[in-house]
Amino acid sequence: MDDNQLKQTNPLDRLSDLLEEELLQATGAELEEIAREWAVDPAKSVEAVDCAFKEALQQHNKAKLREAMRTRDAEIAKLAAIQQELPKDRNALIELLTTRLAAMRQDNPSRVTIQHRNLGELTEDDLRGLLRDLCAVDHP
Amino acid sequence: MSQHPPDGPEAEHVASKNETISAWKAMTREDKIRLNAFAEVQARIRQRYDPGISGSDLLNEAALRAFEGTREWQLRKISFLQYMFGIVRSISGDLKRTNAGKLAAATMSESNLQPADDEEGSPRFIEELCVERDTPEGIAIAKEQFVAFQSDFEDDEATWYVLECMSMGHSGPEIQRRLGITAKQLDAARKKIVRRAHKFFLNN
Repeated sequence: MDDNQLKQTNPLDRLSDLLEEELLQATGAELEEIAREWAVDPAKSVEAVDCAFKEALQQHNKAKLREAMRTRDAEIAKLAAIQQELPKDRNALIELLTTRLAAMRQDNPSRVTIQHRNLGELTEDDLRGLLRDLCAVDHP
Repeated sequence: MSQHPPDGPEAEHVASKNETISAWKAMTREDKIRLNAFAEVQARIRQRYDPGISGSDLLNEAALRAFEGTREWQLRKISFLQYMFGIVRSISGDLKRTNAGKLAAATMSESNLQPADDEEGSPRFIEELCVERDTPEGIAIAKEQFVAFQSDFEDDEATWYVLECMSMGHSGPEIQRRLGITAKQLDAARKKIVRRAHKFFLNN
C-alpha cells in the first residue's frame, strides 16, 4: 500500500471489520456475552430486529400506496381532461370515432375489432367511453 | 449463523420483496442478536458523524432499503445476514461521506469544484464528491478517534503495533510477518483490541 493510499485509509473501517468478524464467528453463550459488552440485551434483540423490519415494511407499503394513489389521481385527471375535450353533439362524436378507427385501421388493422359495428346504434355514453378508451390506448 | 450459499450460474438472481420478507422471517435468534449488535456497534462508532443516531435507526433504515431494493440482494451469492451487515455498514459510511463531504464541498474553492479540462462537465460532480468518496475530513475525524483509541494501548506495545498495522490496512499474515509474531499472538492481540473497543466506544 503506497503513502497516498494510506492517507485515504479510514482506520475505523479496519476496526469495524474486526468487530464484524468477531460477531459472525461467535456462537451461543460467547455471542450473548459479546452482545452484553456492547450493552445490547440478547433477549431484546429478536424483538428489536423484528420491530425494525415491521416498521420498515409498513413504511414501504405506505409509500407504495401513496404512489399508486398519485398514479390513479393522474389517470382520473387525464380522463377528465379527455371528457371535456369530446364534442357535445352525437353526430360529431360518431364522426370523430369513425376518423379515429379509420386511422387505427390504417396503422394496424389487427388492433381494430369494432370495424363492422354500426356506430349509429351506440348511445352517446358508449361513444364517449370508446373515445376515452382509444385516447388511453394512444396515450398510456 | 446462516450458511453461505454456493456460487453458481444463478448467483446473480436478485431477491424480490417477498423473498426478502421470507429471509427476515427465517432469521435465527442468533442472527438477530448479531444484526442488532452490529447495528449498535456501527451507531456507536459513527456518533461523531451523526450524534444521537442509534442502532435501531440504522436497523430500520437498513430494512427499508432492503424492501425498497435500493440495495440489491443477490440471494444465491451472499447470505441474508451478510447482505444486512453490508447495508448497515453502507448507511454508516453514507453518514461520514455525506456529512463530511457536505462540509468539504462547502469549504472548497470554486476552482476545485470544476471538473478537469479533459472531463465532461457533470452536474453530479458535487453529489459524487459528497456520496461516493471518503473525504479527507471524514478520514481525519476517523483518525482522530482512532488515535484516541490507540492511546489506550500505550502500556501494551505488542497490541499497539498490531493496531497500527491494522489501521494501515495490512492483512493478518502481513502483520505477523512485519511484527514477527505467531498467529496465536496475533489472535490474542485482536481479542484485546475488540474488548477495549467495546469499552472505548461505549464511553466515548
